[in-house]
Amino acid sequence: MDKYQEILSEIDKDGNDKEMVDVLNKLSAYTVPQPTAAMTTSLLCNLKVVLQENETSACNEVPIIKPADRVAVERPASDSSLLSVLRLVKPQLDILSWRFMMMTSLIIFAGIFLIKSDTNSLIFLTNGAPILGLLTLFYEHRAQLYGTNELEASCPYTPAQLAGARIIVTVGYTIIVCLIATGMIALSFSNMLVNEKMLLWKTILAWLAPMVFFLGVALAVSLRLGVMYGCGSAFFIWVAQIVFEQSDVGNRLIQISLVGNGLIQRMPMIFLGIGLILIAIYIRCLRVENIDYSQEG
Amino acid sequence: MVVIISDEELARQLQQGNEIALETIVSRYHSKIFSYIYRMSKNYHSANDITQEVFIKICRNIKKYNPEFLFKTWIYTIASNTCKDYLKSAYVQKTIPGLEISDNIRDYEDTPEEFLQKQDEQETIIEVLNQLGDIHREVVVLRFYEDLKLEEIALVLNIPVGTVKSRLSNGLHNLKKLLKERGEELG
Repeated sequence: MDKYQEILSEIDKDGNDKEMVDVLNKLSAYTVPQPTAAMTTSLLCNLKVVLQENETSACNEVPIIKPADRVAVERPASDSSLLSVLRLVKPQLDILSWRFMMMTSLIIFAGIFLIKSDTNSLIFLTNGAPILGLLTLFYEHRAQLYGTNELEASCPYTPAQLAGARIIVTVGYTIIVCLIATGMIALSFSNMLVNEKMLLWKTILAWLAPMVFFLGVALAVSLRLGVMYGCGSAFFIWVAQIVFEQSDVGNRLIQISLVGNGLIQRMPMIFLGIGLILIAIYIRCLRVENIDYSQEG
Repeated sequence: MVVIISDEELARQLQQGNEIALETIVSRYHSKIFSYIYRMSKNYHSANDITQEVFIKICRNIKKYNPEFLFKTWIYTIASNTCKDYLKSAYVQKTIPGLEISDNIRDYEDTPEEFLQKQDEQETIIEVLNQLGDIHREVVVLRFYEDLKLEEIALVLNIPVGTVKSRLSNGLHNLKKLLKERGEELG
């Protein structure tokens, strides 16, 4: 009963609270099976082996890590080495097939040609750039659908290096396509460049910011749920944004952001900043996850 | 005169590779950790696997243990984290473990009626415990079944003592409510 009273006093209850005493009585009715003697013997045998392994590897001081990560940790190349990441860009670029590139860029260019209006073309590009980015990101990581994570983990590059190279390919490809599209808008349908000299960078920022933001969201979510769900959730946010844009308030905000001044004009900058931070967090998490497994427990 | 060596001293000896210390630690903690994990995982075989993993982690990481801190809280921290990892794993998410009513509650002096009554009581408490949220169940199990003090639970779960206290209080109140909803007579 002492134990009961101690627990009841810890939750500021009187020791005579019969209902609570009954709850504790019921709890004590829950007994669990005990491990058998054979289980204890087997455990001890296993542990003695581990203890001996510890002794033999004590001089090496190898951290306890997943077998798949062991190769990665022992790699001589630094994770942050930009050169090693750039070396990976070429093979990662090969993952984007020419069919994918043709198809996606064609859709963007055709869309701009068909719209034939400077503001609407820009809105099309602003909304299309994130989707192009997400599609490219998904296409780059599509191998995960076939369960090749184990293979990737044992390849001679760390996940952070692979992620870095893939982000360069994804962002690079999207930027190239969108820059060409911006050129098309500026030269073919609009007199933006002639009338307002500052508008070119604003035009670029208008599609770059949402693209980087949505990529950041997709990558951040993918840390927990995988790239497929990451891209999926970013896509849903994108749809919500489109729906918002169709509303009166959204439409007014777009007009203000194109011609107005003040905070609303800084929104693209803010989104760009958030996107870059999310991408940085993603890469940072991959690096830590890969190396710091020995701290568990 | 029997001298009882403290857990911390045993851990220090284990750091030097002493197998006797290992055997003593296992004899002291195997059942406790197994019971704790069984109550959290609700599956006998999983509990055995997770317990093995916990002790292997202890052996592998023993050099990182600082004997200035309580060994008990260190071992329960490892058990809690390993158990959470297991419960979060894709395998567990896909397969819902069935309730296992153990045979060990059978006292062979019991009449069949008494045995059935005990089994009913056990089933009831397992079900209401399962209905508790993980955070409340964990604190109730650590406090009631594992006899850890509030301060020790706070160290194991890495949360403030006040939070442990409120979780324990909420957990027990929720248990009372759930038992009443099932028509159990209390008080």
